Amino acid sequence: MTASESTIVASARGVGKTYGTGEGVVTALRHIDLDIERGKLTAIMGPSGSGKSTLMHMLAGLDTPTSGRVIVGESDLSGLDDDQLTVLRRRQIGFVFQAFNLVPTLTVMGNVLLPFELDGVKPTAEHFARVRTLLAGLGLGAMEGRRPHELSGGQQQRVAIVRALAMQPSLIFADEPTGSLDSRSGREVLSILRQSTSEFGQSVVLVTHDPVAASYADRVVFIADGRIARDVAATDAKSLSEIALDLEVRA
Amino acid sequence: MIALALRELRHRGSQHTSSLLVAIITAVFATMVIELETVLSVQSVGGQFVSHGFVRALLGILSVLFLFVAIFVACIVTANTFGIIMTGRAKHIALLRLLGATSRALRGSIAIEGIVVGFVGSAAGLILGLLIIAGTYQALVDNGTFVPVPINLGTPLLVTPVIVGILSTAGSAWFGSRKLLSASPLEAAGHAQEPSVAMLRSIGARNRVAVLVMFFGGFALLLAGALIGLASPLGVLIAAPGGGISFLGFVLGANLFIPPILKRVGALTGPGVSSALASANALRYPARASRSTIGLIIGVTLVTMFTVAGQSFVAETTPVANNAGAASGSDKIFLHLTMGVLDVLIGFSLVIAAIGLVNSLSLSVLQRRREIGLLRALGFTRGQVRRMVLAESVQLTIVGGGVGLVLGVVYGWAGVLAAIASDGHIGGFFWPTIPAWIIGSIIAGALVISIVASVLPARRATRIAPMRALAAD
Repeated sequence: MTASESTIVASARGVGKTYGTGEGVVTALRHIDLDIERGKLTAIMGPSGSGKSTLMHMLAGLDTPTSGRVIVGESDLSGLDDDQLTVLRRRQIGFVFQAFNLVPTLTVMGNVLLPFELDGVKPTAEHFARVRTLLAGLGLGAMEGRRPHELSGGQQQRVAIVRALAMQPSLIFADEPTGSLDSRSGREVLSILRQSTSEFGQSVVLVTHDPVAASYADRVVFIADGRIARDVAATDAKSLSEIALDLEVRA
Repeated sequence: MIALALRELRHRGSQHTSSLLVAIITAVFATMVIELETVLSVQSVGGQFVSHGFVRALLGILSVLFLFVAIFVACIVTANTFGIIMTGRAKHIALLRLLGATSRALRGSIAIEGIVVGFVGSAAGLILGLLIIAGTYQALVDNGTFVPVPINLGTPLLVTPVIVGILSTAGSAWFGSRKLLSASPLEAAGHAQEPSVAMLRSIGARNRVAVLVMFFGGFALLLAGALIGLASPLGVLIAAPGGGISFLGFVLGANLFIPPILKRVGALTGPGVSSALASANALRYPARASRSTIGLIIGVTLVTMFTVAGQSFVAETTPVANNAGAASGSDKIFLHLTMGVLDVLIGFSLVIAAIGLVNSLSLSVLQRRREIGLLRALGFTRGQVRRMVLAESVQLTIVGGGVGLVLGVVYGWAGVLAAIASDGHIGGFFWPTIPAWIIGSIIAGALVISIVASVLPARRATRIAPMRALAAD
């Protein structure tokens, strides 16, 4: 079985990360083993300082682990230099951040097509059609000429999702994508991410501390103190909240 | 207030490097202008320049004029620099404001920093200027250009460079810090990141009309003066103020004239996303883009104007002088000397303008840390980030150099036409003499400036980690 047919889209093997040296050394991650499944919505949960963001940085090629290996698609990230990592992010990874997702000087369309332009690819009619369908599907059809500051927070997040989906990356990372939204816009954003996995077979990793957000996932991985504390299948927000609370109390 | 200023100066003095450099250069220039008069008066006694009282007066007036130009450019640059320093300190300032510091006290402490930087810089510049003059004077005596007359460089006027340095630096610090420090504490915290909406209209409607009237009205006078000059030498009396008014109109209305030009130049750095983003970014803060190019425009316009006027004058009068005898020949040598001195003087404002460009690009990078982080996360390589900063720099210098070149040729040509075209020997209309070296050296200079100016900001930009974009704060 080759990697492209595999059900695993990204994996961490014995990943550890420490910051600083000597007395001031801080261990953010201790020996993480994790496989991210293709076409699924995986949530990574944990309190602040648990190491969940650090883990995401490693998996997304934004930072390099101190020990262990990260594999995304068919690439082993540990052998890549900064430029190679950048190109990998450009082609294989989509991002949706909590805030400040869009380049303020570009229009909605310009932002969505940015990954193509970074790659020196002239978007084809097919690309445009796909992007327009995506924008229309998320209620942004009439906004392609607007600038980010003319959009609401929820609309900006949806544009970021369209940008991430447009390149059809191996994996999309959504880092607290609902963190600065009201609950209704937040639910919309989560449903869209959920749909992208069920309808397009897109693989998504959702990093959050919010049990309601994590309840949209097929699988929830709890990180505490730099380790994987629990790994559970889809369940409701209440149970997730209890697990999270339990971990906090034990910490 | 004083304690705050001293603490900033002690711990983060290096942030004032460029303000200090600008204060030094301005003071060196001011010292030279003051001593130029002393040197010339000493040398005219028994020297070879006795007969050139008129040229000496002209040189004196022009050097004072250029001193003002240099001070003006220095003020723009220093005000910008302090704006940048304030942006870097935004979080710290917001904290102080939240803890109860008044914006008045904070601005006062910035002004004190300005006074200290201005004093240190201009005192150093004064000493440096005196050393340069004493050295040059000795060298010119040694090679026989000057007669060996001892010279006393001490004059009460030498306090002026120091006073000018302190006032311009402190005033610019006060002015440059206004935006951040007059903001509420929460706004001050927000200023650390990019403001969401561009400030498109930074010039009021009434001022806009005034500026347009000055520019085009002055231009009409300049043209009228040149036309009258074809028949009478009095044309220069209309052309000169006309040119002055129109240039002043251009400088004051820089916010109005420069952004549209910048927009067209944006396409010149080629297609591709780095260039497009650079152009969009340069246009995002039209006022800042205008401030960072206006210094270059002033310098290049003046250099070009004097060169074109001087060379056209020489080209048109040489045949006449050959008929009239040797007297005009020595005038010609003196004219060349004068032009050389003027170019050196204008060079001061060009150096200051280049420092300003570095600052402006640094601010642009500083304010866009998150945006650059985002671009890096989405797949912008370090090389593409560097190209983006370079493209912005190139676009700004092309505008500065190009506009300066065009304005300089027009002003120089119109001026010399108005002054000498009516002369019977010349016989009316002539085309300007534009030496290839002036165009070549301005293009080469602009190229060097744009590359050098982008090195530091680009290095800063490529160091920004992509994780920057993910940070919630």
